[in-house]
Amino acid sequence: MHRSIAITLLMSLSLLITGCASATSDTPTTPNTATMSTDVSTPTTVAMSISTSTPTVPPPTTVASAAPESVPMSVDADGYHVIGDPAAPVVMTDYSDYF
Amino acid sequence: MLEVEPQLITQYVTTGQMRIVVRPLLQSGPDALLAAHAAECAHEQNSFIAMRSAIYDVQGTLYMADDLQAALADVAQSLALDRTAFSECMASERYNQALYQGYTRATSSGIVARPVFELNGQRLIGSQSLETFTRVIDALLAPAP
Repeated sequence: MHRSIAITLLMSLSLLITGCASATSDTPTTPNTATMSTDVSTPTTVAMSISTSTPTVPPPTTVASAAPESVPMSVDADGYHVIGDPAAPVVMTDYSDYF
Repeated sequence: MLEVEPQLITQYVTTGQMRIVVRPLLQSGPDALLAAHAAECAHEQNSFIAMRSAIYDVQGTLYMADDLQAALADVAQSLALDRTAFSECMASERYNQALYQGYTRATSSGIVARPVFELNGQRLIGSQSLETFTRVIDALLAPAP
């Protein structure tokens, strides 16, 4: 969520810099003709849509295949969730986070 | 793990040959804590593994969510969980301390990367292919010579 804010700020900053660059580049640096225009161009406003809405969470699609109803679930003495028969000969400990 | 876990469950867990102990890490910070807490809250409604799988399933969307807690509540609702009870559980933060303690125990035992898998104590660091898991598990299941 902080990343979205950061991205939005970066894009806004980018637009601001672009606008400033546009304003300065329109100003001649060397007046070399008598008919030089005194009109300083106004930076063009760039219309840009930045979505700030929360992405919609799509419904999960693989839940049914992840663990059949018949798989036993339990919590061990240390409070960790156990998927499968607590007496199974092979123990796989899965250390991971969700992101 | 998302890709291979269902296959490992079908091949080894449903046959009673292997069990999986889930030890959540919090290395990616508050978002990881919220997600792990959501799985615990789902467990109160007998849906731990469904929530765990669902979080992995929509991981990318959750990662970009402005309001992760609301997005997790959406996931809970999509699993037909009681959204009010789930949200009350999330607001209570009642599993935070246990999750922190579990994370501390993991790092104290040398878990500094993610994911890490231990198969009867044999440590595999990083994501592994189904073939690697199968090779190690089959070796553990083979009768001693």
